[in-house]
Amino acid sequence: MSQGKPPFGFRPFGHSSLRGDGSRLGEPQLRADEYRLLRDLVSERLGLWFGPESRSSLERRLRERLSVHGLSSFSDYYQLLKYSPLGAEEWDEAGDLLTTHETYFFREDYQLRAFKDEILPMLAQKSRRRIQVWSAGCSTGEEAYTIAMLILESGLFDSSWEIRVYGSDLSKKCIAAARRGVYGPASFRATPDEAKEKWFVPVPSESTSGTSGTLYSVAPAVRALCHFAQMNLLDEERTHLVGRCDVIFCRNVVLYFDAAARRRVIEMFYERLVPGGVLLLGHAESLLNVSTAFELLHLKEDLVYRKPATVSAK
Amino acid sequence: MSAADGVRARLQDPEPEVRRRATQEIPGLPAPESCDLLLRALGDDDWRVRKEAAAVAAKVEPRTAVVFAVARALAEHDNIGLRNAAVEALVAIGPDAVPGAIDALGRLDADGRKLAVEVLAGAPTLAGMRTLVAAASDPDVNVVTAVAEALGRAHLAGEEARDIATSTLTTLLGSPHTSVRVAALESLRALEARVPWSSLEPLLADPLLRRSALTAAAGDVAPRALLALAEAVADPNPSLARDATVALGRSLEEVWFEEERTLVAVNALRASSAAKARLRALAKDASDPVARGSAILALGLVRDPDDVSLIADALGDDDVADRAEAALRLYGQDAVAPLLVAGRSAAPSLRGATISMLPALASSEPEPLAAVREALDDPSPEVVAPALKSLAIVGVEADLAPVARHTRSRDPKVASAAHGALLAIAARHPKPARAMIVDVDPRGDDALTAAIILEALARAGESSPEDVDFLASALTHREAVVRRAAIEALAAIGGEEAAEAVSVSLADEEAVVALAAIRALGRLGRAEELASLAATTRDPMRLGTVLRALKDADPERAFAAARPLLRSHEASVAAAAVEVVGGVGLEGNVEALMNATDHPDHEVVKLALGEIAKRADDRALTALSSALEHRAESVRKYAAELLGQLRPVREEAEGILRTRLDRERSADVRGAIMQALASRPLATPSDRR
Repeated sequence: MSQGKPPFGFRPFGHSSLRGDGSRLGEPQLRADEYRLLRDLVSERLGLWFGPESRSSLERRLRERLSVHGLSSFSDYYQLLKYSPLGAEEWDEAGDLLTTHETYFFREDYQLRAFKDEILPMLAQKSRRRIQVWSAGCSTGEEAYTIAMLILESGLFDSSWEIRVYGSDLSKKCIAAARRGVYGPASFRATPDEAKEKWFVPVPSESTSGTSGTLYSVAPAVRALCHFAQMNLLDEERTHLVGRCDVIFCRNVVLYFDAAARRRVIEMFYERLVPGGVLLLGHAESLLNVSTAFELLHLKEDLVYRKPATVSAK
Repeated sequence: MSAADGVRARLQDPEPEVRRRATQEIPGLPAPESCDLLLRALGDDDWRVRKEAAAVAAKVEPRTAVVFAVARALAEHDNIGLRNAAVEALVAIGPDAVPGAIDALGRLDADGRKLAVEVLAGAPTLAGMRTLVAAASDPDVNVVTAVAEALGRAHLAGEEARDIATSTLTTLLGSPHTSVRVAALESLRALEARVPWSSLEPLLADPLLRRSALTAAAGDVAPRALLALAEAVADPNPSLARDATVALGRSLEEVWFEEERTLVAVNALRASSAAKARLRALAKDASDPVARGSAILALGLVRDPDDVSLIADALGDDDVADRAEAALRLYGQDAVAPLLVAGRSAAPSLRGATISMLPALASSEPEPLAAVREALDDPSPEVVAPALKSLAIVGVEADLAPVARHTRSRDPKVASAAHGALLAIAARHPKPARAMIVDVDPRGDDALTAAIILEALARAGESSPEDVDFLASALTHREAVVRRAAIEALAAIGGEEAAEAVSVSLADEEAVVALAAIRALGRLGRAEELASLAATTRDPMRLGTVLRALKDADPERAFAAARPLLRSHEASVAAAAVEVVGGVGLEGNVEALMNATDHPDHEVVKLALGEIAKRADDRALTALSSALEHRAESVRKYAAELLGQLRPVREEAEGILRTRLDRERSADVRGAIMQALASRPLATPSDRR
């Protein structure tokens, strides 16, 4: 999932004497002053935080954009992102490169079980027969489709319910892939056979030439519940369009944000949730030093955050 | 009912959410009620209310009264929640809480003293660290253990604090209490203090200390240390072996190019199948990039041919790719065959990574070159682009045509890599390159190839008089990419005729072409024309490009043109002016840049500070010191970072940072200042002026 995840880095090996020449073909090097400016800009715009150890990663990932634009330095690229009319479009490309899109169906199954066995029955008690779940940082869509499958699988919601699973991601390319809904073997590493049989349709081999392994398309019933859109979680105007949600999944996303961006995103989630709505974060993420607005909800298999139901307005 | 009464009433509400929201209002209340209510909220039954109270504590005034009132809560025995929340609140208050914690340390029981130590660790200052050093002789072992842990944050309080902490912690290594020795070792590691191997070696025999001692040896290149680390890689305890591998990796980095010095570790690893198995397991584990990187380095030194594909797998992982490259380089030609095999069945990104390694391993061998050429036909751009980059290094005459084909790729990565490769190969093989473009129509489909080749020929000093005419015609090509390439080629050829031709493109409707023309005029030395453009251009992006180009053509005129624009209300213009003024290195440029340090756009201020900081002189100290008072947190954080990184090191910077740290109210900025203090390198004799 991504809104996204910068590459995890450690000692700046790439800038030490170990690599020898440091680059090929005299490609531009990311100087320390350029790194500081770009790092701050990326943090301000996308929320992603790159520490001192990530200079080499940032350099590797963005270097190709310099050659695409015919720029001779990262300083020029910074100016392009910050001030050029081409900047808005370029941020899409930069966002794609700076985030990791690794994900698969039925990821972190303990949390999905908690969703299916405990949260969905709670939602089934609602008087208004409408449910919206947001997969924030959905990458190529596997999480959003998994959520839709679990909702259908539960059998708790008949056709009188209005159900929508909304997937968003920073990357336009990921959203395009999510909308396509066609997946290769890597996406199925945790998918039970019966689920694969029930919710996927093999794609005819003539349309998959040049790829390795059989491709599968998400079944129409699942697709019908899912909607996707490209979105920066720090863009208040865009996130406002999501509407009120009963459940927000945002797993392994905010841990790559700097503290200020994390606070902003969590506040936005709070605002987007209905009273009593639930926020599910990744297992390594916590709101402990981010927000006191949510209360802890202890489920059998997971600990999730709930917007208090008792206070209706902030 | 007063506001304070209202909050007091709501703090007694049975509903935690009501109490939490009431807590948020406490900073707006007058003293002394605010302080009283804060303490009440800090002792609430619900963790969310306590957390909220700790978070707002830094905003409650008067601060001194709040600090001493909250510090009194450290003596609490019954309400553990209050005690812990008090620690959190004092840490959030920061350096202003230190006197209260020092006072508490002198009068509390052992439990309370331990909490006061936690506060001094959480708000690190030199005074606090001095107090902790004194507390290292506390009669209670739990307090001493807490002190040893707390001293691990001394680097955040500056050089002197780090020095006294290192000295105390080294002494504590001799403590009879294992918990103290473990904490001291961990803290020495956090301070990145080099502990002599002679102090660490005796600790290896203690099972409780072995792991910490090995970890503390990271970066040590003494033969006995390297040997111990290499042997510990085979330890049956997986976490200990993992930490030893990481430490060994750090040490190997220190002596990477000194084969003799690594030999002692390498021989130990080669002799142990358990060690090799452990390294292989760690080298496969993508979830732990730190250990993976170290394991890959060690395997590279061991140089077992069976490990090439394992290391090659890591080329696709951005976090460890540079280590994998370094390791594979050690194999040289021996890595080629396994890499070719691994590359064939791998995912496109990994295939691309292996392709890009081949020329570096065996540039003159036919087999790798054939594999690189074959990769040009791969369906994935992730493979084709690296292949083109490799051919830029090793490509020959025969590669000109296949590479040229890719310059028109729809994928920008591929097109750009092909452009670079064609330039490089054509410059090495000018005759066949020229032969390729003999009959090309400057307005036809092959004009792009021709323009790129003509640029390469110009760079190689092989231009001919007709080239300018050809390129001038290409400037009217229907495709912007060709027009841009023609401009680049004309700039490389140089001369009056080329400059005249390029000038026409200033009016090109495509911004990318017009901007390329402006940049080219800079390289062609057309200062007059650019100065005139600078005076008449209104579009901010274009004006910025003009200024930069003028800097290439005539730095003095660029300075004169850019100086008045440093305070332009258009941030992009001011930013370009800062870059130009900073880059010209003429007398008066620093004074001029000072004018931009109060620009309304914070990014411009940061750019100006960055340029000024490059001088590292008294003016830089003055500018950065003022910037620490800037209203924008982002500027204060940036100034702190620059002060921490000044080269040559200025000892005054620490004093400036520490003074600000004592007054800074923003936790984020305080964090940045502490980080700057921690990352300051030690001054060398040449730094001291």
